[in-house]
Amino acid sequence: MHNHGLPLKTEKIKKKIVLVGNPNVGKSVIFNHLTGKYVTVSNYPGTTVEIYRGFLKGSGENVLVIDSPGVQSLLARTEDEKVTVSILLEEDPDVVVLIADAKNLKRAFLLLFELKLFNFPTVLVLNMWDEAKMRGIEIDEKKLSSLLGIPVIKTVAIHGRGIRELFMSVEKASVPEIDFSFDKKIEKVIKDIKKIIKEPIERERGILHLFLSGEKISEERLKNKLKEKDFKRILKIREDLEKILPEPIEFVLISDINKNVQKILDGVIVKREKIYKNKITEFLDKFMIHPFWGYIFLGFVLFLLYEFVGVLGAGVFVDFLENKVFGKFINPFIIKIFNLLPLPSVIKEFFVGEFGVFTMALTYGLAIIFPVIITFFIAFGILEDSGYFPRLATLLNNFFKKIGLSGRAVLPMLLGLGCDTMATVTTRTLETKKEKIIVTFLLALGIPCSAQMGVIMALMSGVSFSAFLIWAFAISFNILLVGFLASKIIKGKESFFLMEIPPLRVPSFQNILFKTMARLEWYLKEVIPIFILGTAILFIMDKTHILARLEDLFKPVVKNILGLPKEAAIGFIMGFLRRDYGAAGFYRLKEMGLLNVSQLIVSMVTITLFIPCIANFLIIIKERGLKTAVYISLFIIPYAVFIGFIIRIILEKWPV
Amino acid sequence: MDIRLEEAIKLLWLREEGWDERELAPINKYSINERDYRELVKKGYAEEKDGRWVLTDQGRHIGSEIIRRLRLAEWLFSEIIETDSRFSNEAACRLEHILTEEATERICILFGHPRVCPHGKPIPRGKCCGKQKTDLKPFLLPLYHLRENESAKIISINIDDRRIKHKMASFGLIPGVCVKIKKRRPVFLIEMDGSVFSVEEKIAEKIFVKRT
Repeated sequence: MHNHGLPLKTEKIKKKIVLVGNPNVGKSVIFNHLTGKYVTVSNYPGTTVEIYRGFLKGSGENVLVIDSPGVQSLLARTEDEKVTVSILLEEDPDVVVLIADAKNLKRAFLLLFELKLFNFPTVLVLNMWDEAKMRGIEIDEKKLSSLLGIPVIKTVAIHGRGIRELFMSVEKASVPEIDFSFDKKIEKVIKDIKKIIKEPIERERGILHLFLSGEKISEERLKNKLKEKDFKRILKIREDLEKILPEPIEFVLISDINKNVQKILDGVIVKREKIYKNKITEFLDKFMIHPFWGYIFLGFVLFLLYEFVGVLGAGVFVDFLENKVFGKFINPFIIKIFNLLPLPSVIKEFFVGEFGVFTMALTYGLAIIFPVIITFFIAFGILEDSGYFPRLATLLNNFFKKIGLSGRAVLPMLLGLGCDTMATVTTRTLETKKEKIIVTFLLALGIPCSAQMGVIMALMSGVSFSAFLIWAFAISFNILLVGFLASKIIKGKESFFLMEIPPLRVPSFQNILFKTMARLEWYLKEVIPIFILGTAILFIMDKTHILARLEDLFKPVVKNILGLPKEAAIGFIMGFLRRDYGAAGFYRLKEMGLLNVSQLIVSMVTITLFIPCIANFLIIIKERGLKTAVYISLFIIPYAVFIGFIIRIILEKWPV
Repeated sequence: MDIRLEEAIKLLWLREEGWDERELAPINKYSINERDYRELVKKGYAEEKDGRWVLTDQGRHIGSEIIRRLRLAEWLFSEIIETDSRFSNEAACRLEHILTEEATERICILFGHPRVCPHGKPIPRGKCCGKQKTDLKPFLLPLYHLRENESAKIISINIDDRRIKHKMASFGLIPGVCVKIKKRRPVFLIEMDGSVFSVEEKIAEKIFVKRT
C-alpha cells in the first residue's frame, strides 16, 4: 500500500498536533470534532493501518491534526502499535493530545509517562467522564492539572461536551512536570550511552529508551548520528543490559513506570464502590462467546451480512446500476457519442466494444462491484466498531487450534473478505512464522475478497440460494481441509492466544460513514485503473487473436476437466489480474447464456480457489519471500482445477 | 560458611548489580571491611581488578545462592508474614544465612519460581526453577486456578517465551497489578482496571498470583 490521498500543502502548516491514546477511548470521535473532516487517509507505509489527517477547525490550513492508531504503550509495542511510535518520531508534533478513558486513567498514564520522556508539550483529555462518574470514579482534574503542569480537560466526546475547552487548551499545552527514574541499571546505561553520544540529540531521553526497547527508527537515528565504532558500543551496552536484567527490558521499563503512576493517581482519584452493569451488553457479551449460542449468533451475523451485501448490494443495487443506469442510459449514450465521432473503428471498439473501457471495465468496476464494496464496507465497519471481532476470535480460538492457528488468525481472514492483499500484510501481527505462512496460504487459496464475493453473489442471486450454499460450503470445507493439512506439514513454534476484548459499543454513525468513504476512495484509486488496464490487455489479445489461441490451448482443461465452454478460459486469464475481475469474466459468459447452474457453481468454486491476483502475489513475495509465493501458486492452480473437477462429478451425479 | 564471608560476597554481588556505596552502607550491618575482602581473595572467592574487588566464578556461584536465599526470604516476609518492609528486609537478611537448600527450594516453589524479589531485583535461578511438577501446593496460585469473580495480584510470570511477555507488558499485565477473573468458561477472561483480556489456559497456568 502506498500513501494515496491529496498531497498536503506542507509549507502552510505551522503546527502539528498528534492525537494519542489507548484503543477504544474515542480518539476518532475527537478527531472528527477537531477537524470537521479528514483531508487524507493513507495506509501507513508497509501496513494496512489507516492514518487520518485533517486541519484544525478554524485554523485555516495552518494546524494539521493527525490521528494515530490506539496503543497501550510506546516502549512495549505490538506489531500494529509500531505505527504510532513512527508517527511521533517522524512527524515530531508540536502538541500531543493524549486522550484517556476516564474510567481507566492508569493505562493512559503509562502513555503520559512515556510521552514525558520525549518532552512533547501535552494536553490530557479525560474522555467519557460521564461513564466514569456512573461507576463511582471521581477525578480531581484541577489538582491533576496543577500536579502535572499541563491542561487537563474533561470531555464526553460523543455528545460534544468539553470540545470547546479542548480547542482553547491546545495553545496552553506544555511538557508534563513529572519526575521519575528507572531501575538503577537502566539509568546507568542511559548515562553511559549519553557519554558516547556526546552532544545531545533531539528528544534524547525518549529515543534512548526506545532504542533500549529494541525500536527500529530510534536505532536507525542513532546509527546515522554515531560513528560505526560508537554505534557498536551502544549495541553492546544494550546487549549487556539484556543479560543482567531478570525480565525483557521493556518489561522492566513499564514496571518502573507503573510504580510511579500509582503514586500520582492515589492523590487525585476517588473510587467509591459502585457496581455498574449494563444488562444488554452483558447479555450479548455472554451470548457471543458461548460455545453453542456463539455459533448460532455467528450464523445470524452471516445471514444478515448475506442479506445486506448479497441480496441488497449485489442483487438490488447491482441490478439497478447495471441494467438501468448503465444498461439503459450511460452505455447507450456513450456508444451513441462514439458512433457520432469520426474515429477509426478500432478506437471505437477500444472504448465501447466487447472489451471496451466503458462497456466492460467501468461497467464492471462501477455497476457490479461498487455497490457490493459499499454495502460490505458499511457492514464491516459496523461489526468492526461494535467490538464483535475480538469476541469472534475468542470463540473460534479452540476451533482454530485444530488447524494449527490461534484465534488471532480470525482477524486477517475476516479482513481478507475485504481485500486479500491488505489482509496478507496484517498477517504480520500473528505471533509465529507457522501461523503467518498458513494464513497467507489460506488467504491466497480460498478467502474471496469483497469484490469477488460481490460478483459471485450477483451471479448467484439470479440463480438459486442453494447454489450459493454449495459454493460457500465447498470453499469453507477446502479452507479447513488445507489448513489442517498445512498445520501438519509446516513446522514451527506453537502459537498462543492473548487478546484484549474491548467493551461492546453501539457504533457511531458518523464514524462508519467516515471510514466507508475513505475505503471507497481507496477502491476507486486502486481498482478501477487495474480494471481498465486489464480490459486493454484483453482488447489487444482479442484483436491479435491471441485470446482465441489461448482459449484453444486451455480447452483441454476448461472443457474436458471442468466441463465448461471454452470461452471460460477468458475468466481464468482475467483472474490472474484480479480475483473479482476473474469472476466478472464469468459474469459476461452467464449474460451470454453460456453457463448452466452446474457449470456456474463449478466455475465459481474454481475461480475462488484459483490463483491470487497480481497484487496479492507481489505482497506474498514481499512478506513471505519468493520461494513461498511460488510454492503457494504451484499448489493452488492444480488444486483449484482438481476441486472444480470433483464438484463437476458430484453435480453430474446429483444435479441441483 | 562464615557469616562475615557470606556478607562480604553479598556486598560484592550487589555492587556488581549497580548499587553504589551510599546505598550499600545501611546494608552493611556487619561492618565488612578490607580485611574481609582480602580473606575472600585468600579463599579464591574474589580478586582485585583495577583497584576494585570483584567476585571470581567460584565466588559468584556462592553469591548467587546467597542472593537467591535473601530474595526468596523477602517474599516470605512481605507476602505471607506481611511484615513492614523495613522489618522484612532485616529479617530476610538474617534468614539468608540459615536457610537450607531444601527450605529455599520450597519457598521458591511456594512463590511460583519468582524471577524478581518484591522490590524488583532479580533472583538467580535455582535447580527447582526448571521443573514444573511438585507435591507442594504453592501459596501463590496459577491465575488459572482462581474462581470466577475472585481478585488477585500478579506476583510473578513464569514464562520464558519473550513474545508472550512482550505482549503482556504492552497490555500492562505485569507483576504488581491486580486482576479479576471475569469468566472461566468457555474462555478465560480476566479484567484489569476495567479492561478485559482473553487469556489462553496455558498462559494463565503460568501467571502466579496471590489472592486479595
